Amino acid sequence: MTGTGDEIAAAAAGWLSALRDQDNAYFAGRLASHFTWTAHPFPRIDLDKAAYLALLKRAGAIDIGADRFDLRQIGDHFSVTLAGRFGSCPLAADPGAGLPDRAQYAALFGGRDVAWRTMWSLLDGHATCIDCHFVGSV
Amino acid sequence: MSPQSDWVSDLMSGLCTAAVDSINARRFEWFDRHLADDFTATAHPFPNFGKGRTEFVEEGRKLSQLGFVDVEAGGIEVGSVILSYFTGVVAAMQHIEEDLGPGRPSAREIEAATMGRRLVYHSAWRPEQGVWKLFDHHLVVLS
Repeated sequence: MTGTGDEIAAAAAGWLSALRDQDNAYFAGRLASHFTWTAHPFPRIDLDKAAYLALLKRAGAIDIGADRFDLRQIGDHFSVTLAGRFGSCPLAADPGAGLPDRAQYAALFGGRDVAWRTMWSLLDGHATCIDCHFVGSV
Repeated sequence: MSPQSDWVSDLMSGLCTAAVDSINARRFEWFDRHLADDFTATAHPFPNFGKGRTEFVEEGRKLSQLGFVDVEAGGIEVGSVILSYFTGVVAAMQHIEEDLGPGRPSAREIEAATMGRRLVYHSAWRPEQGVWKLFDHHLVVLS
């Protein structure tokens, strides 16, 4: 892997632990200004960086375990797939933003393996995520 | 997560090629066969692009030509699901209708934003009764 790839890998590997630890400074520092977050099976939900940071703040620490990781270079960008298993009630509080409430979220995804697809690049020498898509249950 | 294997790459390459070919041949039966009931499509950086199965097929019918160069496809198995990627540079894109629906980017806006650009489709597939069903389709337009 290239030096850039190593840097992206190191940054992306922190994603799930940052969700788990409610380390919102990680996301504030790693998301591009044009970042977007989308989710299956909720096609109407399309959050920009500020809205996603607000969602994370509302939702609290997220119960996600057993990080798994795949990185693929595509031109100057890096596609990173992350997967893990949610706890039985993954969110500490209602997330808002048009998503189901905490109890509904637990019914949909609690105890299930879930995945995220993310796209990264090096912007101004800094490993930066430009897009995150939640696949849901896998 | 299993590493990418040759059969997954071959399968995804075949499915993605068939999808593009079906658009160009205007044979939309492929989408009836391979889109799951809970299918959704989303895209970066197009706000409010998200759609379900019916809307996606309707918009697909307004696309008359689609072509890529420098193509690559692959994927990884996660449980019984394949998380795939398909990437290529858009060499041809043409719609037969300008209006893609209320609140949607126009056909001309989509063509201008994607022609000559590298796209990545992050997709998720599951087997249902012997058919690989696409249930999640997320487009990223790279700068």
